[in-house]
Amino acid sequence: MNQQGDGKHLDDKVAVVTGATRGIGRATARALGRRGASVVLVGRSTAENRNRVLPGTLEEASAELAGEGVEVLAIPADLRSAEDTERVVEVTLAERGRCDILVNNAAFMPSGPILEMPPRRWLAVFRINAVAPLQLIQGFTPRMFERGWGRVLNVSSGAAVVCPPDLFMYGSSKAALDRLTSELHLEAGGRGVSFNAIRVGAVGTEQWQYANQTGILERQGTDSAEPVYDPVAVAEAFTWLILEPSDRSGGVYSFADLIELGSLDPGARIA
Amino acid sequence: MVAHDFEGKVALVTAGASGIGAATALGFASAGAAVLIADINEEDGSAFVEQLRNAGHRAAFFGGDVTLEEDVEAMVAAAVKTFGGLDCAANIVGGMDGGDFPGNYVVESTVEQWDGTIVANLRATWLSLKHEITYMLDHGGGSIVNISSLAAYLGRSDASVAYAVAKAGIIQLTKTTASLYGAQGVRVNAVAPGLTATEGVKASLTPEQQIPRGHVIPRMVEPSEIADAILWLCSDGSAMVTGQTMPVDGGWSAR
Repeated sequence: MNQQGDGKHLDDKVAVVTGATRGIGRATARALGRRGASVVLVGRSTAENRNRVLPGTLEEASAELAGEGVEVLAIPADLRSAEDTERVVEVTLAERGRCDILVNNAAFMPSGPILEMPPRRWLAVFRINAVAPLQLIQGFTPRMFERGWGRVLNVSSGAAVVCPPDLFMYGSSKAALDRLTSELHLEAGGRGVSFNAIRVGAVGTEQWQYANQTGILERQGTDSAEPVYDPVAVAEAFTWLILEPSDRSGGVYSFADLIELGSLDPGARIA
Repeated sequence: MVAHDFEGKVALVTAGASGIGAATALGFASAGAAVLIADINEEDGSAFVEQLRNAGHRAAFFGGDVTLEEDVEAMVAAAVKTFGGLDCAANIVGGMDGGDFPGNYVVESTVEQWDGTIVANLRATWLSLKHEITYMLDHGGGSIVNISSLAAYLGRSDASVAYAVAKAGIIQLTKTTASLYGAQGVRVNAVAPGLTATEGVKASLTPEQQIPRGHVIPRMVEPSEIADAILWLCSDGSAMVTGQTMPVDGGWSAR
């Protein structure tokens, strides 16, 4: 458990990680890259089009990995757009020939009273959190099946099961992603390709730090006594699941499950 | 950014998609306010709003032109409809318009340039005040901040003559409006920025020009530092301040 990537187990693999600019996505891309994977980073924040709330750009994430000797390709894309999402598939296949590991990590998490949120926002949340993952899965899995090896890891959330009403749109989209994961396993699992989801709990990402500092967690009612995990430890747990044989498929794992399985270090907390 | 508490408040920021407006919108949001960002640039405005929402803030976008009265009315209505009220407003819209440009002085200016800049600053700010205050008077008051400029204080600035005159007009508009409605709970102040390091300004200046000679403190003002002043003027900390224009100019106006 929790090896820091010394063993190169993913040398001939191509990994696509969405939402890789910061947080869990960036840490996961790094963990996979350190194990030898060629990494494709997908994100929206670029030097030209910065996120004005949270720090970091795709270029910075990409330079960090390249500096560590990881083969890296950055694809700026907005997963709200079906065209952009399709372009992620096209560019990856053109530049790297395939995707062996797909980590659907990008997410949109607006909050607010259900009765006051415009219904179209629910569509936007589903577009990014559920539909774009399916689009990428459909784009990449044919090559995985051809080669008889593939890993699809969908980043879900504890909010799929229970969350404050303010986060209902997010939580419901994660519930959909969980179902997508288990249904995909039933339909297509067992040919060397696994479909799993991890319901992340609180993770000390840039977004969490910001929300903690600005009182957003308090307002959302998500500032519970729940432990806050180090993104690096979470990325290690993701990597463990990816390194598992493909017959570990169709699972939807909580942090508690991962701790029980020995893949998430219960001591790796930032709060 | 100094910590303020705007939890439960609704703030409106015009020209909120970029520059000083975006810094102000982020300041209000970080301090707990729900923010309506109004801007003529729908693409930048919507993208920024989504970044704010994704970070957990309450924010919405209104696309419109605040030199047009129907847009201003719709903007105030949108804040009220979306977030249930309007407590604070930052009227940031301004700049040079109608082909007006920095260094365009009295003899060179055309009627189109003059009118463009006067309308973009004075009409926009007056119309915003008109409809913000109309709502606030009926709903327990509020606090509003306008944007003047250091150019309003200097005989000859690098801005255009129309811009300097319009920004001087904002100082008087601020005083007049504050005097008229202060007793009914509406405070109105202005901030007069010195050379401010917005992306647009930085792109237009050489590295030497980015150390403004006029500033006593030898650097440009950060947009977040203008936002800090605006937030303070909207906060209860400035409860007895109204009708004032506060320079945030690295000491330029003190020279």
